[in-house]
Amino acid sequence: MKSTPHAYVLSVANTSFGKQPGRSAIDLITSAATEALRNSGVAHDAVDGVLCGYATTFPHLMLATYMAEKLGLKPSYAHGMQMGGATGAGMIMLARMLVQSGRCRNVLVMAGENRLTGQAVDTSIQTLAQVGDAATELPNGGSVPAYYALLASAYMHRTGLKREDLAEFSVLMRSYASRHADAHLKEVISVDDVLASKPVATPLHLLDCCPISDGAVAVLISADEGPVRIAGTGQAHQHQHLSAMNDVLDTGAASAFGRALQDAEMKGDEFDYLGIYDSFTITLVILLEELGFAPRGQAAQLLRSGAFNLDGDLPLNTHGGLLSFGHSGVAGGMAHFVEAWRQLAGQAGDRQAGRRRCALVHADGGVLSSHVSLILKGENA
Amino acid sequence: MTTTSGKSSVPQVGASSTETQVEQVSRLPIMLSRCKACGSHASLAPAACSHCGGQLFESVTASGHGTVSALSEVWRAPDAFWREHVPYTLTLVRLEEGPTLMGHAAKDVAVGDTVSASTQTLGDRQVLMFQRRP
Repeated sequence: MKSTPHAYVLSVANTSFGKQPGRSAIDLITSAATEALRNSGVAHDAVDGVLCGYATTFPHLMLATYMAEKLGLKPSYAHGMQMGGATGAGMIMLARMLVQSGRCRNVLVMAGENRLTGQAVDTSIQTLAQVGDAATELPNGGSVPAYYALLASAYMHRTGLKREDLAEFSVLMRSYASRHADAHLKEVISVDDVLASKPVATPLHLLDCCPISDGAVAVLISADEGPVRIAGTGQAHQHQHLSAMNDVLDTGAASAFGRALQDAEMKGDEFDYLGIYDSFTITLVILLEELGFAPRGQAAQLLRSGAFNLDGDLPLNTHGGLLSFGHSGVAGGMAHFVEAWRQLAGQAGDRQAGRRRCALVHADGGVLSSHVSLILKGENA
Repeated sequence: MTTTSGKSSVPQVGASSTETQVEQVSRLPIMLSRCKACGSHASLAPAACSHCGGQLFESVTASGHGTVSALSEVWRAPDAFWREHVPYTLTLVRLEEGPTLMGHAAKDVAVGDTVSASTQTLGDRQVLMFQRRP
């Protein structure tokens, strides 16, 4: 094995998100993976690594091996991964390590599922709620929205953040999604719409929550040079259950980011694009503030100043995020990475935010439980 | 014994003997794991202490007193049972022994309040209910 200093992202692909009736998880993943492979220019028999995220609608024991067979690949390394919403970013971090170590030269990373049309909404909610502790949390009638609502309550009490501040992020994500043909929710909304939407678990209302979507995403990570380089990565896991989180102002996001910065030998002031996990409005605000892009309780002020717009300093989730592009499980979290790649490669079309050089993609799984930071650099910038 | 499953032989508060007993887990008293090495408490039955790594615990009874760190009124229930009871209020309480515990809260409880634990029967289940301390 010959180690190599860098890993590049040669290509990305996504299916449309939203309702894809009649399409199985395998169909959706196959579509995205086939397109990513075609776009990469990598020969079929040169793919020596396959990573695949879990699918709640198809809880298979060896999905990476299944997909390798489906796609006619014979990799020397295959691995299914489960890390909640951070799975996609975790797989990309692993793909880079496999390339750097010399174990693999071309790693196809993929995920997708028919989470919206493949099962009842109650089933999705109950499956996801299992990140709660079976003895002390689930018996209360908890769910992921309720756990995040508790996080929001604690965070708002500590920082003075208001519901109106959270709502701004839903409006921004919808505005971006309205420009993306593949997005799940495209109808433009206002702050008043968010505030007036029905309560799910206060302070979170329906439009503070991401939808459940069908969809898939795939990317190809390689030792060969491409438009985007993965410059640094980091993880943190400080708790799994909400009851074990010691401090809502220290969830692990900053630790993961610090490790990624150290890995990339950067200080943190070079970023000109952000792809930040946004399962709920509160998720996005807590992450932006813990990562240091806004002072505590002030992320909405930064948004109102225009910083997260296409012509701002830090365009944010320009595909529309989980809140509006959609959430099909692992693929939903990978869509932030896809959009960051397109911005850095100058391939974001109508959503291109000028020339972008350096992006941060940050994802969390569970209840801000597992964190992965990815630092990406445009090679042509 | 190091278990903190929450099961105990305390009689069910308010549960009718004629009801179908689907899930009979007593919520009181609240049992915590206390690390024999450093004395810190945990609510979720760890195999090793998150502070010192110690693996020997003793099961201790919590006072049931704590401070509310979060509240949420839940309107979208996860299943048919809970749909019968919406809206209900979930809370995270920082117990005076240190660890955080999830439960239900009475309607008049606010974040920052000091509370004490009681139980409430909902259908055939018993939930931990935190009330403001008088």
